[in-house]
Order: sequence, then structure tokens, then C-alpha cells
Amino acid sequence: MTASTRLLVPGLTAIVVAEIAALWYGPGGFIWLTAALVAGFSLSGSV
Amino acid sequence: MLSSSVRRGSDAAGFIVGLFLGAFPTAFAFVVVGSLLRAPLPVLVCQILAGLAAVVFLLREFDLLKFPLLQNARLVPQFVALTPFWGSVQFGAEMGTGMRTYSPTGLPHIMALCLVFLGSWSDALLTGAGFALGRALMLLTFLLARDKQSADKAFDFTLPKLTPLFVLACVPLLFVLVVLR
Repeated sequence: MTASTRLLVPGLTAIVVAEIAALWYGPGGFIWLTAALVAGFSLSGSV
Repeated sequence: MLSSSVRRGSDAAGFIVGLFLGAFPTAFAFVVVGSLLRAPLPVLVCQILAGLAAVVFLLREFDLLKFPLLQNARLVPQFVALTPFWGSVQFGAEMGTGMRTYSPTGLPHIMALCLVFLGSWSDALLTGAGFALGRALMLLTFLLARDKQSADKAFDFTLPKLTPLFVLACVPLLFVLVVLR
């Protein structure tokens, strides 16, 4: 794993944890929040 | 990179506040527009439309469909961030709307269309918060990184390679959001 990849681990971990929690919880607001979180983070390479 | 101008503590806080200030009104605007569009439609039709939109954009992410994304494709001018704190707030607000940036993926478009066809006010609130948090993760990553050049490299070169993972992560969420709601 390169140094630059390691830097992304905390953000990716946050996303994975949120995703598992949202799917565990099921339909509701947390799904909206998590899907938007993933969408927002996926834009991180652009400004 | 954007973060170079908002790495100071107060500016980073302003940027994150701005992200939320930009994301909330945008999400609410989608619900307002959607409320008008879907008023005559049964819920099932709205679900089908949201599902179709999600499938089309997801297929695009996997290169099975090719069409340009509707986007502004303009950067926030760098001089905006030169004003201490309020410049960062403005910078964050413009990025929080998602309307003044280059969009490498269609995932935000899917969320926007889901809000239009299915979203309530509380869904808009949470979607805005999630989008702002997602964008804030980038800056928080920069603030945590000791080597800023590596951080730049991570977002410029490594993150785009992970786009398929983000798309895959969204698939079950969208299924729950659209089908099991």
C-alpha cells in the first residue's frame, strides 16, 4: 500500500462503517445520509 | 488543490460550515422542485422513475452507457479563499452546492434525482448533511496528513481509481432507498 493510499484509509473506513450501519438499520434517514456521504466523498478528487 | 487555501484551523472550520450552508439549501431545492413534479404521480411511479434514473447513471459509471454529465464544470475562483474565514465559508458553500465543480462521477446526480422523486424534508436535511460530510472528509484527510504532497497525490490519482468501489457501495443503499423504502 502506497503512502498516498494509506491517507485515504480513514475516509474509506468512515464510509464502510456508515454503510454497514445504514444497511443494518434498514430503510430510513440513515440510508439517505450514507448514500449522500458516499456521493460527496466520491467528488473529493475534484474542486 | 483547494485545501491548500483552507488548511488553517479557522479557515477549515469556515469551509466545513460553508459546505453545510451550501448543501442544505440545494437539497431542499430539489425537494421543492420534486414536490411539484411528483404531485400528480402515484408513489409507485415515482419509485420507478427514481429507480430508472439510478440504473441509467450506475450503468454510466460502469462504462456501459456513455453520455455527458450535466454539470457546471467551473472551479470556484481561488481568490475567494483569500479572505480569512468568510472566504472559506463562501468557498465551502459553493462546493457544498455541488454545482460549481467538476463531477467525475454521477453519484451526486443520482442522489439529486432520488430527492426529486422520493425525498421528504427530513430526507433532504440528512442528504445535505451527508453530502457536506462527504466533502468535508477530504479536508479532514488533508488536515490529518503529515505529508501534504502525498495527500494531494492520493486525491488526484488514487481516489479516481476507487470510483468503482464508491459505485458498488451505493448500489445496496440505492436499492434500500428506492425499492424497500
